[in-house]
Amino acid sequence: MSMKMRALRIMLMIMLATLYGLSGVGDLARAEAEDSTPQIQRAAKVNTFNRLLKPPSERNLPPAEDGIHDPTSEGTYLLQSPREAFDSLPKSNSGNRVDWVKALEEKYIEPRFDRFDPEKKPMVFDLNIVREVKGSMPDVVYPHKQHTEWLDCSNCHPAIFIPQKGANQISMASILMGEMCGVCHGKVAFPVSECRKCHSQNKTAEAKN
Amino acid sequence: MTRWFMILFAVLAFLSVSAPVPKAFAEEEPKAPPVLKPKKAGVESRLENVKRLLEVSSGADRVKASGNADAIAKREEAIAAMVLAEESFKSKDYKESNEFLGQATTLMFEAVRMVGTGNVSKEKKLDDYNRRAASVNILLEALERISTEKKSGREVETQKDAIEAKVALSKTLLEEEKIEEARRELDEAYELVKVSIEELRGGDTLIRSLEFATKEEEYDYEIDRNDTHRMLIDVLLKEKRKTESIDNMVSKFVTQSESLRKEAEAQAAKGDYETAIATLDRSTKELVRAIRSAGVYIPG
Amino acid sequence: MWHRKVRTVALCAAFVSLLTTLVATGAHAEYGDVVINNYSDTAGMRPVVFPHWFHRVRFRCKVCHADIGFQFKAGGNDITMLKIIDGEFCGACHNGDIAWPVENCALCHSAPPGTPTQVHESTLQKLVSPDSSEPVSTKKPAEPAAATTSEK
Repeated sequence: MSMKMRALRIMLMIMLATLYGLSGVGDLARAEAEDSTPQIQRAAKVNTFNRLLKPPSERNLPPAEDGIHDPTSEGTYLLQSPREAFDSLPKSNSGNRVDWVKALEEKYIEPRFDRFDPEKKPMVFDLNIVREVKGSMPDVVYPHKQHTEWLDCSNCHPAIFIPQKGANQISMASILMGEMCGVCHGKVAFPVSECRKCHSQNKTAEAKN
Repeated sequence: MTRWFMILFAVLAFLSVSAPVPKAFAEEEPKAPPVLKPKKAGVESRLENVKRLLEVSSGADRVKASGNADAIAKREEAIAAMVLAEESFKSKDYKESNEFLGQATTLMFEAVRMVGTGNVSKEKKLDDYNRRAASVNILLEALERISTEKKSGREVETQKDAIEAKVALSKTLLEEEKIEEARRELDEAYELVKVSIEELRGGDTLIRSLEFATKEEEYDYEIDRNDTHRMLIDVLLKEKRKTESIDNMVSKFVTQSESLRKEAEAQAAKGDYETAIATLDRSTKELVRAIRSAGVYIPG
Repeated sequence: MWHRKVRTVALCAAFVSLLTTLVATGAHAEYGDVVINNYSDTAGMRPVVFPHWFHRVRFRCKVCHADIGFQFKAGGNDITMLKIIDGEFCGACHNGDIAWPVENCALCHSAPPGTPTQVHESTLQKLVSPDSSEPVSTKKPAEPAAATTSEK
């Protein structure tokens, strides 16, 4: 068979395959064409890129594909797709993959502080609480500032924390179990896997020893 | 030869365009608008839901038990609309059926609203009041402490008096069952106490230093730290442990850590907290190794 | 030399079309999506999905959790349709005034029947559920991602 004939034959088969929507005919055609595209198919099957990381295509899926909305319900198709909503927002590496604090600070979003009055502004309270922890683990800095942008004092005091020095015994294990900071972090606010967002103050050299 | 490659390239390019584009590459494309043409399955499911709303829902019970003639008549209208919806459904006019179902739903909700209180229940209002009152009280206590600490003097005293007066008035109003007015006074007190605290504490940094009164207390702290890291293995490594080599490595460190923990617990049981603390620290270090060996670099 | 270039481009094009067949189709809802199924299953309705992300774009946490009085606990608020119609909880906004009214049943009641109350992707869910990569939904198990099935 001449080179030209062979090329024509392959071309025809691939076109047919396309028409058949990449069915078995396509595979045949590609097997024929293998000498020009060696090993791609074999290698790609076992060695997908970033096999342990949820690929971007699986993040922020539209409701009908997210596994928690019923694709057989008519309402599912009227809901907004998170990907569409998050497109313009600053990104992060966890949770919704949106940096919500930055989004608010830099006015990418303008959530209301009062459900009736769009003009009402929060009373932001700038008080940092530093909690020392043992060893070389960085100390925790709790900023009231970022929290009071979203929340009101009454959300946490006194139901979750007593506003008094020494009155709150914090346990990281119970945070993981959804108590204290874990009431929000690990459910809706950035997840606890983001250690350094809270353990953010490195020890000074002398404190380490 | 050159032409051969050009043809192949053209074909492959065509193929890659005509094939369904992977999602990662399709982000720019606008989503298809929602299907507005009602489908049989969707209308059928809605029909069932509306029937339930009209016949057996808590709303239906409320209307039936109300004895309110207007509401009952409204529900009858809703049922009539649903009957029409059923007929359209049978004659396969799903669009029309869907419209009748919309009418039935709206009418039924109107009926339920007619016999509702139209108001947040007293029970809920009282719950909300009590929670807000607890906040005001605890913040007032905090304000008192801060003002002593800062020797803030008469100005804060005046503010405190004003807040306390509002709280007292709110309590009286609540006793008189004027819950809305009571809440309004309470909310004013709440806003005032917030502002007072902000004025005194804004811009501060407070340091809660780590001091253990006893070795036992320090041991408890280490137990919590150990528990935390053990839990982090589940939280952070679940996916990664599906790879056998990673799982083996993690398991090795975890086993090591568990035996050290048992050792520490035995030491603590004998009252030797000092040694127990050191052993626990080693146990926790094994867990940190396990987490880092799987490629998650946690601090500490 | 020119041939090689064309060949590289052709290879890339082929790779793109191959990728098509390899994209995994796992099922993953948003972090913070809450499923509420206190009464839905018994009432024969689909359970409710509350999307936190959608609401926090539009409201600060405080609006619902302080002003309207939602406790910070999935399924812990004893929400019923009658309460909502009277203006409690969701009904404080979903009244046709601030947000669309509750006549639009299917917009909230949208989870597959049988889905248990949960905060999706929460730390607790990861600690408690046997395999966090699967959604807790009983009706629609996730298709395992192509990438992970090959690991067995």
